[in-house]
Amino acid sequence: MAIELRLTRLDRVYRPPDIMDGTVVITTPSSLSHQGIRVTAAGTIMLQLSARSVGVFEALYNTVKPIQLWSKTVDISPAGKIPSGGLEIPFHIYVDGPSKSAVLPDGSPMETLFETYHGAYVNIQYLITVDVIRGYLQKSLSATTEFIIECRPGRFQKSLVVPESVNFYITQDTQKHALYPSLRAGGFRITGRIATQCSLTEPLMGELTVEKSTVPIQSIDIQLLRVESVAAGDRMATESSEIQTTQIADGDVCRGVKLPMYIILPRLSTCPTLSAGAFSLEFEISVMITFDAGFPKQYTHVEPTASKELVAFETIPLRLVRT
Amino acid sequence: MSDLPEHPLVRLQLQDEESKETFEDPLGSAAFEDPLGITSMQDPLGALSLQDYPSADDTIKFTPKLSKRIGKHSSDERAEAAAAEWDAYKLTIMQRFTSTGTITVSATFDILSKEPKVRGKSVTAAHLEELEDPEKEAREETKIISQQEYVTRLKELNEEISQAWANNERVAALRLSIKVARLLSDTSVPQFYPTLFVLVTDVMDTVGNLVWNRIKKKAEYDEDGRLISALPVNFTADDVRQEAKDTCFNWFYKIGSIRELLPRIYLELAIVRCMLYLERDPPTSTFQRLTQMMRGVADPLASAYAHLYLACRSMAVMPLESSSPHALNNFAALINSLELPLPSSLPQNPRVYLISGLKDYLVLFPRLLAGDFDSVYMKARAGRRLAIMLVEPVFEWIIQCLFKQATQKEMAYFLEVFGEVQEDDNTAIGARGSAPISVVVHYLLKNLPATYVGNNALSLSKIVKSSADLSMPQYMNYRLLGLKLCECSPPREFRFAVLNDIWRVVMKYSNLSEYLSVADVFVEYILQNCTEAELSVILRDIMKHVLKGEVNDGMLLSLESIVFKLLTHYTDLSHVLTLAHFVDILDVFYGDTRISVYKRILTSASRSNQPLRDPVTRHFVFEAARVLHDSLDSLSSDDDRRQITRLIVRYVQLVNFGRDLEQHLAFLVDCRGTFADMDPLRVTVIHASNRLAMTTLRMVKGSHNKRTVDFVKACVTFNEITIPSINSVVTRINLFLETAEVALMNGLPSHAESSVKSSLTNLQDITSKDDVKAGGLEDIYVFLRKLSAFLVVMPGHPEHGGFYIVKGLLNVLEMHPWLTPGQRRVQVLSGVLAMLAALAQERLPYHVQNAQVDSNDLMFYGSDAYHQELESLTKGLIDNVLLAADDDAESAQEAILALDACNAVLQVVDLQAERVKDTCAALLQKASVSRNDPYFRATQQLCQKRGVRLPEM
Repeated sequence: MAIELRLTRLDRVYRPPDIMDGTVVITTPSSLSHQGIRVTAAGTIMLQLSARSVGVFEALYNTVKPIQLWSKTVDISPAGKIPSGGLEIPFHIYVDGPSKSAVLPDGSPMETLFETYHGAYVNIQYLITVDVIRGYLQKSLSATTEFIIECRPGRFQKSLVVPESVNFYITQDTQKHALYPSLRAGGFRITGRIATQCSLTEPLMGELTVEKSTVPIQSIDIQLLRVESVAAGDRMATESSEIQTTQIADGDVCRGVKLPMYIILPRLSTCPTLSAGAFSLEFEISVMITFDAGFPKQYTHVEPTASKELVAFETIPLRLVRT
Repeated sequence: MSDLPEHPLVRLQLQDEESKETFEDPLGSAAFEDPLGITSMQDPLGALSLQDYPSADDTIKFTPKLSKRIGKHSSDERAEAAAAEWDAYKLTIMQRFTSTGTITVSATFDILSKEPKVRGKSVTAAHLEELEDPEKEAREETKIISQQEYVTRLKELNEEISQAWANNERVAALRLSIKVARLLSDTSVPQFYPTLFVLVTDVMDTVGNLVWNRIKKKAEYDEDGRLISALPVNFTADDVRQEAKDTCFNWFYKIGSIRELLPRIYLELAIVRCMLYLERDPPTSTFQRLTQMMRGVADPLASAYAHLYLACRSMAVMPLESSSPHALNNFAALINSLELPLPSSLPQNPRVYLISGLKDYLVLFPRLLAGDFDSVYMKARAGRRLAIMLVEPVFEWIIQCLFKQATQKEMAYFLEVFGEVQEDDNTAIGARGSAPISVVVHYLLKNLPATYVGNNALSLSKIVKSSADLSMPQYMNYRLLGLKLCECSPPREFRFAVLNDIWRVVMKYSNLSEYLSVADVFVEYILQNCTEAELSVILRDIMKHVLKGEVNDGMLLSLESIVFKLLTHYTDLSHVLTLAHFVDILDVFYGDTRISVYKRILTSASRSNQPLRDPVTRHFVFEAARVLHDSLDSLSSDDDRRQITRLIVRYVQLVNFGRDLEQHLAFLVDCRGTFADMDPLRVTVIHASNRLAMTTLRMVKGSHNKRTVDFVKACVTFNEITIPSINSVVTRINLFLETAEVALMNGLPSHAESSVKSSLTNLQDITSKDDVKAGGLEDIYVFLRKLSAFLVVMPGHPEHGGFYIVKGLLNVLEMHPWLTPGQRRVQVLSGVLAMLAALAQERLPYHVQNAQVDSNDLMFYGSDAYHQELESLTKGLIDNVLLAADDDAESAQEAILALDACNAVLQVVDLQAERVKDTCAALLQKASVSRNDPYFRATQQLCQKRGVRLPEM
């Protein structure tokens, strides 16, 4: 006795308004009676407060309840019997905008479905479930699978999204934290240019030049960060965490050479930048330069602050859009 | 399992991928035994389509329209061809850099150790442990394994990845391969790096093929494993199903999320061929981007080999010629984005990213040359020199790739990019990056066709001049340039300028061996293109350098080659010897090289086949010959001995003193003394001396005066002294006979007689059949017949009578029967019989052409005693002949013997006596066994003519 949900689209990506169709496949050795088969598609936002920003106890008690964004139910079969061997029942569900009743935690109505997003404190997830309803005391049959919602690139015309970029420079003077003495004394200057608005389907591009550095460079990494804010009472608990790190330089690279940045944005962990009152999703890019002061490995291990002193970084907000 | 799984999002994505794939692909288990892989190998269509374009190269040249189709066509074939070429090259890399020893592997490369790592040790526990023993961590982190273990482990990993893939654990396979690629970040043992590179790229290729085949399968089969339609051989992205494209995208996403730079680059290169599923055009931009990404790899070794892998992969993926019109349009933009100097004319090579990659690397490479990385390599006890050497194959391969099907314009562009001296480079590296890098120049030169080098010789020599760094000794470049110029000369007006330009630099070289190896090549160049004036200048320069420096064996080889070139170029040896400084150079040689040079000189003398008249040459060659002769000792091989002997003999034969015959004889005496223990030489000397005597006779027109007689006597005496020292009896007797003939012709009968006597004495020395070599007896037979003929004109002894010598000869024959075995005896005796018959005539059939020499007819004819003696000798001889004819038992042989004897008798004897007639008849009777033989019939007819009554037969 097994039940399976098969979506016609192999990539399971739907752009509302869209029709999701698929098949429910039930295999059973013996015939089986039921009181109806029902397919439910639903989207929820799960918010969580960070222990760091609001404190451990509040984080435990103030967990925000999951918010249902959208839900659709379709009965695909009236009560009846499944013959022995099995059955395949096709179905389709109209994925439209959010239900009228859906309101955001702050009370404002939703204009469109949010895109699927998996983060640390915010999760936007869409699931489709099939249930074979059976009486009490009987084992119910169900299967669930996730599908992915992406916005139609309606709001932004592709041509309108001009690649916006910003020039940045990193020197010993732009660093607010303590730097290793020889690093501050010797000085360094790293300049670059990076996109501040980027389409989710395109790689994030930029370039970077080490113009000067007396201390050898160990590594240059580009961190993609998410900044998730969740309303907790009257204030926002904001937390940023790393999504992905991409190394663009390994070792003491040549000075004056343009290093390209080419970062493929991970799907599911990114979505269009979003601000919805009760929560917001923003992204940042952090350029991190790690210097090599020639310490043996144990040293940084024993003195954790020392390793921090050897890093210079610059964080730049990034606006992600769907085109 | 260090990096990826720790990342929550990546894990999520990967797991998602995993579940999705198992869901979609029920046939996944069969992925390993991919039926497609096999079919594509044996694809009859593919084979046919190949045959359709038998000469793809030609087609491309003439029909540019077709080239696109062919370019696409051969996607698989190109990949295979590139793989084959690559395999060969990998092998050479492995062989070039073999090293043994151990490698310290840090714990981060834990895949190399087979023991599972102890996990889950709590942080505090570890910290406490560390406090107790702070060194422990450091010790545990590294692990020493031998290189062999390393190699074996990597091969196993390759297997493991294939296995994991076959078991549907594709993500695990990918993780493993990322770890393998990460190994390449470790350059701590530079000597091992090339080997490591080869092993790792093997793994990468495996992964690349697995992914390629998987997507291909996705494109051809639906989820239930039913064939939809096979992809055409020359498929484009349009033929590929969306599902396959999605999978393909996923792979690029997965690889894009690898944190470290180097593994990301390697893995993307491994699967870059899959871009063909996604895009119509060749993935030029991908290669371009990857090239630029490599700027971030700061280690010169790692960076170099990454570039190498890119070049290799691009050979497998990219068509050689630009295949689509878009590519051409994009080219200007591409050049711009690569920040390359804009070429004067746009080359169509779509692989310009190789140029830009190399250009990028040439920013890093000077730092290695300047010693920025010395401290890194010192740890591994590897010098800077070694590191530079390890990078060399990268230049070799990339430049070779660049030059594949390159046009003249493109070559000009390459030179423009890599060869120009950039004066006003204002970037930070400008200070030292201004001159062309010599190793690049070297491989550019190597790949440029000779005609191109010839036509641009001047600018190339400037490039070589300006590139003098550690990466490739400059002299190697000059040498290569010289070789190319020898292959194709520069235009006439530049020939001298080019030489001047180059030599101005080379003549300042202080390292003799480098100098000589360049000089070696340019001597050839001068011989081909310049006059002797330049040649003497360069020879003088060479001499100057040689005198300044210490010469060793290696340099001698260069010098030897120079000498050989001169000898080959000039056919006239004396001309070479008169070249200024040539002889001085020869004096530098010693040891084996000297022998080989002298051999060459003698060869050159004998090859010209001209008489050697010039006293200097003659003398020089004589000295050379003496050295060669002296070099022979008991250890010399027979071949050597024979070769040198032949050379000297030929030289002696060619020597010519013109009319100065006496000096020639003196020379012969010298030769005999100098080249002792060479039989062939003695023979030559004797022949030469005989020729001298005869030349004298001709010069005095047959009548000697006092002086010439003495000279001739000297010649003959010289021979008489020389001959006995020859080993072979047969040679000796023949030479004696020759001398006797010469002596007699020159009117020296007593000398002639003594020579003949000596030859007979020598014959007596043969005491048994075994004393002579095989064939020797035959030679003796010939000699005896010849002697018989000579004795006709040989005057008799005034005291011992006319037949003094003849009797001696008969005596020898009698006493030494083994000299004339069997049939030969009859024949020899017949010869003597004929001679006697001739002597019986009033006038001899022939005479010596010298009025001063009388033969027996003048001396003895009419003397009764003479005739009686003749008669008795003849009688005895006939008996002997008959006896000899009886000797043999075998019938066929016997018949011929009988016929021989019969003929001999018939020819010489006046057939008055009945006894003789009977004898003849008896002999004929005896020979009747072979009556059908023509010889028999001829003899029979002769008998009838001479009136012999023949018995009935």
